[in-house]
Amino acid sequence: MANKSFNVVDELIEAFPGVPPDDLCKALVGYLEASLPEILRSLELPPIVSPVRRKLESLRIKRLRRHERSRAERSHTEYDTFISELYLLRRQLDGLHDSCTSSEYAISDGNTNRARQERYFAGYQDGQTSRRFPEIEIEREALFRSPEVETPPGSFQPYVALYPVREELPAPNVTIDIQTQQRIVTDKLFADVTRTLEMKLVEFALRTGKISNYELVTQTDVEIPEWKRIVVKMISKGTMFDEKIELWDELDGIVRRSFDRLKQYSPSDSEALNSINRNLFLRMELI
Amino acid sequence: MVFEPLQFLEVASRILKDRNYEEEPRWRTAISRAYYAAFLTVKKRLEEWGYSFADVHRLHRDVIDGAMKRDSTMGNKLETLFNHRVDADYMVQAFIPPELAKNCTRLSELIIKRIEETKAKQ
Repeated sequence: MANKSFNVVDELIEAFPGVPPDDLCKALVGYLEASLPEILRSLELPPIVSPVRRKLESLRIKRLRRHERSRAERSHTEYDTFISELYLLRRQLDGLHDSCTSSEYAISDGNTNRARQERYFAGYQDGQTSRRFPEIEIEREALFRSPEVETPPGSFQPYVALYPVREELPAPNVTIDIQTQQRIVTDKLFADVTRTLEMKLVEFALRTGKISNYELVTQTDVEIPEWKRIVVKMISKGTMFDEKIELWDELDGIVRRSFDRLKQYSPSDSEALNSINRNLFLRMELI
Repeated sequence: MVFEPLQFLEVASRILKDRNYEEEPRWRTAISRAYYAAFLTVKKRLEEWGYSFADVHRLHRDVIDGAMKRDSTMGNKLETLFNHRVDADYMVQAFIPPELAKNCTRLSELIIKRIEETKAKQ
């Protein structure tokens, strides 16, 4: 395989004698990088083996001799890892993977220090927490709370929750604009703040059931272009003006208190947190 | 005689109901006046509390930042009103319904009430 690829380079060098080989190699690498994602997207991926089938296979291979068993186990592990990596890659290419936009991406870089970890978990202090996929948390909770319920005979379906799921409030839609996302990726403190903020916003929406949309944007001004502020736009449908104001003020209190908590966990960042806090505005849609 | 910013709020409330003018210019003017009523009142109170706003080019920003430091719920509202005022004054393509103008006027009232309450407590 390696020889073949070298032959391709040799053939290219022969075909374009006037071009330096380094430039040809760079062009080839560029071409491969550009076309690989498309190839991966169009590949028909083999199915992910169901956990039930995998379990049955693992029971079956227990009867094999040790070296055959370990070979089979290794091949299963390699297959599962490879296939799940391919699926993950495809999801990332489609922009669907959680880490593409979440602040968690910046956090899970393996370089977290203690203050940072504490700041990271500060958002979880209030008991129930939900974030990007809050319905999953609620479903999980419901599963643990009603273990006594039995399913009727013959109704078993794999990959479906066995127990009745508590009726859930609709999760709000949270979007983050590109400029804010870029800052999340480059500024770890800001990433922690937005992560906590996102949790608080979603929790609030789930608790009240009155907020349908949040949008985090970096706002610039037509009159003062250098004035950049972080704005959380909120939409509350079906509420009257007075109720909107109440929701708005209540959420503001929650958000500002979360900054106090972050400061407690990471006192060295107090100054920077104050600066982010002062430049963060909550804006309720008034119509 | 010193101009009283509350008079802007009165103009905003009156123009909302005044059918002598075309509708959209009324909504836009009401939003703009409502903002200035709140902005000037907040500025005046902040100056009484020792804030100074020397740089004219940063005036709106500095007053909103000052309001934010003092009371974030008030800062949020003034910033929101400021943003609607920019839309009303500059963005000809912006959709400005009458409810928005009415709610901006009410928001301005709330900001003014809030800052006067803060002053009374001192």
